[in-house]
Amino acid sequence: MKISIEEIGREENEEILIRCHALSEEILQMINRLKSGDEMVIGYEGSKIHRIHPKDIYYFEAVDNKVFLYCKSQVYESKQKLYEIEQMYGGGHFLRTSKSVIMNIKKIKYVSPAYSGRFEACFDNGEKQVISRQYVSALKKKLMI
Amino acid sequence: MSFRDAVKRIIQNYFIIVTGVLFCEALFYAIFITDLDLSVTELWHVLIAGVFYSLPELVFCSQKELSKKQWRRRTVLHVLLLEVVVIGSAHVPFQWLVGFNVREHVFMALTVPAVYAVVTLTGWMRDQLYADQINQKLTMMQAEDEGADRAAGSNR
Repeated sequence: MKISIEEIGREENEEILIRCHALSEEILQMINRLKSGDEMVIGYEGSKIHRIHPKDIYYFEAVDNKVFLYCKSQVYESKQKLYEIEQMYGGGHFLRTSKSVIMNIKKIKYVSPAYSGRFEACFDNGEKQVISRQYVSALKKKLMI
Repeated sequence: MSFRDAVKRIIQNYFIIVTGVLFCEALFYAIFITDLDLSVTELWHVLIAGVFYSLPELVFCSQKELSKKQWRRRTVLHVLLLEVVVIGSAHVPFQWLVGFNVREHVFMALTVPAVYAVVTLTGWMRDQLYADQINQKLTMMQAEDEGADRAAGSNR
């Protein structure tokens, strides 16, 4: 895909124009990525509300109908559903890795084989999470393997 | 593993088992019993045995993801069930074993965990290969990110 960058004067508004034959899944994901790039995620910690940059999130996890987001050492609650998070950030570096977890693959230090065809992802903060067998192919696809 | 996934695995395993048994049988008869006159019943036995041997996979069915401990326990149960099914079916419906010969039974009982170990090891080796590929890509991605961060830092 050709990428053109045009420098404009300060008086003009900045814009991104996408020229395509049809709105493919790939382009839609790219648009989602652009939209969600600077969008902050709201995390609740008791009565406190935090604005968290997606790049600081390690993973989202659904536990007992609640969704939590895990940063390097903090845990916040999110009011969004896991499928909404997947729709919003799935085009970027976030990937569903089990029924209840969406991971930020940029935070994975390494993966190793676990039991029963599953894998274990070790994050750069030392935490570990299981990648279910049925999501391994999606991870490989995301990493273009 | 959900019931749906388990059914998928059972069907997949059925074909692997049947192919494996037919291959081993063909090899065994080709080497040791060259003048064998194989009947259609023998082929049906293999096809039915495939059903018996793949059904114990149902022990891995669970609504929730299995923990390591649960998976270990169910693996032991799976092997034990396979032992019962393999030795039991060799006696009653198929009559591959007639009477009670200790050596034959011990051999058959040891074959199950041996095959299980080989299959598990092969699967683990394949997964290790996938993990290496994934880790290679992750390292490349991290190196690219660090490069981009450095470039952004020097532009500021």
